[in-house]
Amino acid sequence: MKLHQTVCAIVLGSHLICEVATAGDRRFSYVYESTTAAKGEVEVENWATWKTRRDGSGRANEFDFRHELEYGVTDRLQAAIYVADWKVSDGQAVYKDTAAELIYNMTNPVTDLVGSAIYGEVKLGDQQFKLEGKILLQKNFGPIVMAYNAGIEAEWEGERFGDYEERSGEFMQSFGVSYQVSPHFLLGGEFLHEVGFDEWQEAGDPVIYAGPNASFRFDRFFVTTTAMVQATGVTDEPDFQLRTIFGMHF
Amino acid sequence: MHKAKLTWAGLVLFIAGCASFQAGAPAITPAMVKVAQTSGDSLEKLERGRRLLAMRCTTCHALEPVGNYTVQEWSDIVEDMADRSGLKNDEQQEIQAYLAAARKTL
Repeated sequence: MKLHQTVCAIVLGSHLICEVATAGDRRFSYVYESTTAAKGEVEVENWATWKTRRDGSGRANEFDFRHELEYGVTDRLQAAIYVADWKVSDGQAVYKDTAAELIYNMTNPVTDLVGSAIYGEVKLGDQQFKLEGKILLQKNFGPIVMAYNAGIEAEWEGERFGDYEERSGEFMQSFGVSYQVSPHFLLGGEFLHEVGFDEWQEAGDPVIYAGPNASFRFDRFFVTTTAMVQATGVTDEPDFQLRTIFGMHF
Repeated sequence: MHKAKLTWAGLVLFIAGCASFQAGAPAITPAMVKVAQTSGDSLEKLERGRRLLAMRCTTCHALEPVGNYTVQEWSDIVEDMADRSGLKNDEQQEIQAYLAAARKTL
């Protein structure tokens, strides 16, 4: 089966699964909230991210896609699989990786002082292996929701599967605020700060992104989108990225 | 001066948020427990109802003040939203019991 057929099959499969899923609508595209799916619930999300940066006299564009399936193991523990992360760059569709994610909710963002959860992710691709851990904090003030994430990612890369010669780390933190204009429409902003560590030694240039977001939710689906502009001058990172997450439930 | 204004703005936001939350999911009082017991509901049921309301409903939207609807209207709203939020029958009843007790004691 050719790559584009595989990709189409995954996308179609995701939308079919949507027909039996319920979803916790996302307020943010980059920031995770501390709440988790209810026990037994299934949720499907499709992500699309456009990244663009200067490349000589022109621009280089990349389109990343993710198809995620989430399941509420208990009322506090949520498991997820990224069925496929893939990208389109220079007109070529390339499979990147598949991942598993666990989020354990510890406190409630409404009834407790601060909502909190811990997040763990394992990502495996044909040329990379990643481990990521995060703390997720959230507070709901009526129609205003604020969320903060901080985490560390360890990555091993190589020319072929299992032969990873390069290793690196990354510290990230993100913050989001969202205001419910109406139950169907939310507006807000997100902030992202990342610092890479090649070979876990010298810190690279910090990269900061900030931008507005909007979330639309209707009876059976939601769409959340965020436009992020790089506030730092790191030329080998995208200077603009736009992420849209689409979820459906029936 | 600028810092002081920001601090005040933050404080106002915090208080408004807390007030808004209290209107949406007020803390359980002895009066609420007494009202609930007349319908055969326990304190534990009210606590579970409040926790579920705070966890499931706010995943998608802010909580409406309890006083905005009658007990019957709340019951209908919870029933309407149960499928959307993945509530099982007993969980639905727990939220309805909590909202009924909160509404009757306003």
